Amino acid sequence: MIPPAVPHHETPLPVAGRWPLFGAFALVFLIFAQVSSVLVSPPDRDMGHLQKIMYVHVPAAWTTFLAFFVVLVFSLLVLWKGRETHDLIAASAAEVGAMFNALTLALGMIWGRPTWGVWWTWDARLTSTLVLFLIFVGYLSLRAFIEEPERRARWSAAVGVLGAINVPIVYMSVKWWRTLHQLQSSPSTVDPAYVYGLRVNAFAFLFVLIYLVRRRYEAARLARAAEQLNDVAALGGR
Amino acid sequence: MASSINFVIAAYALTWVCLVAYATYVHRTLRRARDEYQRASRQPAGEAR
Repeated sequence: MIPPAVPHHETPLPVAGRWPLFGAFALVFLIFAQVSSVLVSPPDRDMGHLQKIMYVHVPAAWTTFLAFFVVLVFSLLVLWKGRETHDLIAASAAEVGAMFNALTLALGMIWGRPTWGVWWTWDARLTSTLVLFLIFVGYLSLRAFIEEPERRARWSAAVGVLGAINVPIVYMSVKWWRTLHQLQSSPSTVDPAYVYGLRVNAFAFLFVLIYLVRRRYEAARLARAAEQLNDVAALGGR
Repeated sequence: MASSINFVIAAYALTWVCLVAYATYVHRTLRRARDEYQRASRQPAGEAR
């Protein structure tokens, strides 16, 4: 039995606090990460300078996975505790995750064209990443269509859990179905010359993710609180 | 060589366009939500828009 959604007045409204400062730090760190990694890393023996696309494509993919992991955790909390705050965090992470997912796909296409000779192929990794993206577009569309907050929270939590289950499939797809996409890039699988660039950009993308999810959540909470105040006012303060 | 650099430039440019566009959207949404919340907070009971 799923508990009813608790009005989210129970937790205080989020305030901007030092988040704008954190956003500025994330921006400066991202610039530093990209400039330093591009300057430091030598051209790859096979791919030449194209290897530098790895510093944006791979961190964007990791950030997507992390954002959808946040969706999974908070969607499960919604189904367990029924709190609207958790629903709004999940929704914020889903939106930011979908943006990083789209970026991952587009960067993969830009990298694929000169290395594979095609913009797109129905490879297991590419297809499963596209399916992941479509699931979260569906998640966001569902939220836009359901007006009743309690029902919206539960339905989207269910879709969020189902969507996030796809993440391990995307990650393992290159091992389970050996097609065109290379095996997972990580500091343990790439040449030591590229580890710095991969790590520093992964942290830069992580900071951007944290900032965007927090600010998107802040906007969602304020919008929902305004909606609730308007409802109370419409009912004559009851 | 020149062609591969063009793809690298395109990838980094796309990353920045995507992140800046989304961050701008988030900030606008936040500003709108804050304004709406302040308007709703000032609103006397029974005078909802």
